Amino acid sequence: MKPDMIDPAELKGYDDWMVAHLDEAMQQHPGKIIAVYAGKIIAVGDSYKEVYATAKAQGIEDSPFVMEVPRPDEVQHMLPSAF
Amino acid sequence: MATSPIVFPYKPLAGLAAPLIPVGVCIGDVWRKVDFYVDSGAFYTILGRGFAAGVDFDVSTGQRVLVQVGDGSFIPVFLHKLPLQIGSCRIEATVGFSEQLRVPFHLLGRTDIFTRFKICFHEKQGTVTFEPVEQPAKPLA
Repeated sequence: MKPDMIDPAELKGYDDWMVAHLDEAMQQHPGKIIAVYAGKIIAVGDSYKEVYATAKAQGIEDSPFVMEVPRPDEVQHMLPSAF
Repeated sequence: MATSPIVFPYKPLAGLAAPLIPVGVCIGDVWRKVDFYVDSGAFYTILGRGFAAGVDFDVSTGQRVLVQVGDGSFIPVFLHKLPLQIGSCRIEATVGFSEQLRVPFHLLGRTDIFTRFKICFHEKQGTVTFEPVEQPAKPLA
């Protein structure tokens, strides 16, 4: 049975992670998909499917936080407000 | 639904700061945790390229609409109603999926989101605040 919701503290932890590490991730993994779990990047890949599979292969049953890391040049030209 | 405002700091992006926030999305009984760019200019919330395939979600069962983007072109978006979680607030929201979204962010748009929260962008502070809006009570059956 699915849980009704995520522990809000877990989401807060991912918010804190982005504040502290997103810039660094943009330098190290531009254009990649990353998975973050327990405060660390646990997978880097070219697709969501790949990073979810890598996380599972590490024995992580919970779904990690995943995001596409923008490229610095992409950010300068592609911030949304496009609709 | 919780009523305390949720304050998210902007995130550093190559010398800029952006309203990126972590959001839970329940797809196929699994809560996924992803980043969204809070975009008041977007009508729909949209999960972008590669995400549906990554979680084995068949988007084609949803309603297909065409959405006009910044360059004037139209992109196909498949709409689904899904549980979303922002902070400690869980809501049901229309979520679109598109492989044609050409920005490296998922977008958190207005539909079903901006009616459930008062959302304040404080550019000087570098924060975006979500204040839950009380929903009218449902009539007794």
